[in-house]
Amino acid sequence: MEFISSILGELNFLVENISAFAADGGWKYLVMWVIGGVLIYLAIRHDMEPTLLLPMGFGTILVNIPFSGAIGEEGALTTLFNAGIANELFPLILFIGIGAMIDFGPLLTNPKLMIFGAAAQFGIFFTLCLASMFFTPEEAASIGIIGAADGPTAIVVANKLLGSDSRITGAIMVAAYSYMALVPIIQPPVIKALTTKKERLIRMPYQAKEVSKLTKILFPIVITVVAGVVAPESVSLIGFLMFGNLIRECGVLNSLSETAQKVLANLITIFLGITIAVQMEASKFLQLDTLLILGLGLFAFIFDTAGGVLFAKLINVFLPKDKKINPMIGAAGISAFPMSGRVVHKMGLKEDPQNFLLMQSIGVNVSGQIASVIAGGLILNFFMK
Amino acid sequence: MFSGFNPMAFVEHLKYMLSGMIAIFIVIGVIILATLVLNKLFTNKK
Repeated sequence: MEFISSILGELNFLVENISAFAADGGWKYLVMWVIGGVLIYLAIRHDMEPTLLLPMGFGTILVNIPFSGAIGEEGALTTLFNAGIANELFPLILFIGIGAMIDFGPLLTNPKLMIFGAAAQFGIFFTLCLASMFFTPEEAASIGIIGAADGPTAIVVANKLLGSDSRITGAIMVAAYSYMALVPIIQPPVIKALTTKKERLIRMPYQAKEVSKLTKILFPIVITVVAGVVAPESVSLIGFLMFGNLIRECGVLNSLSETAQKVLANLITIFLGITIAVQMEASKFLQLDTLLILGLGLFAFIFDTAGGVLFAKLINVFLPKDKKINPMIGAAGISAFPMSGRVVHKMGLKEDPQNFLLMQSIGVNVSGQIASVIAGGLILNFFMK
Repeated sequence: MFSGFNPMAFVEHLKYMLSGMIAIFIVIGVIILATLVLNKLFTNKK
């Protein structure tokens, strides 16, 4: 009998662990498991940003197991978070990979398209104003940057303004990455609502022009200097992005370029996704703020899209009849690269199977990448004390 | 964190929207000009 009770005593930890679910707020663990499951489902079943949503989903489950050893002072995920996200290292290194992936050719062929990248940042600043009605100025600015449609920029800005232990940082990161995956669902109805059939049918013949190698090499350097002088806080963001692009274009570092595009980007993405989940602890994530942030993030994406489309329509007022711009390409000015460019291209093809907008929309899309980083830098300049 | 509803904050923060959009158009404008100059200076000679 004594033996049995000693065995039961040893197994007491099982009861203690399981009873965590019955404790006050224990149901929150289960809700977070469901959220993690939904992220994994969206990644696998609907192919939505699987490289990020799948690790995030699994990580969400991992950190929401009662008394999880993955988090806490000596938890592996907390260590990774402190080593790579709290100091912004992972998102910045990822930017090297993204920079190496981007071909600025279509943009250099027609640099004027860059103006739509600027217009499509409207959602960031408008959402900042909206969010300020509910949150402190720094929090509102961090929420607005969800509209950058650029996960690494959102992480860097939120970390710098709020610190990595803020209760709303997790929601901001999740919103930034989730909405990037939802670009093909969010953008088309907004574009359709703001354009007429006639406007969507406008053709924009693409005239391929040769861009010299020297121009392609100097472009990332010039961008870094210009953006850095105007918004010094954006130097690390724009600098790492353009460094990746310089590796790609210089022509003597092909092996490094390939590594940055594939191995480096993949490796960091794996760690980034699962590490972000540290911010998705039930106690931090399940609160009214999260719903509000998700709603405001959606607004940011919608107003970014609207900003780009409406600006293109405004430009059309001043253009001659044969030079009109298809206003849909304005929507590609949000940073989500290359999803947004593809969405516009597909919409063009749907209206007219002979209307190819891919080169123009990708050109606008990469300009959105640059503009969103500059917008992040401007926000940091406005709000960093 | 959610700190109550303050509709006046929207108006107070409009200055950031205005200055942010003006600044981003200026920076992108400078980048466009720089790119046009680069294209002009370093066009491949046939």
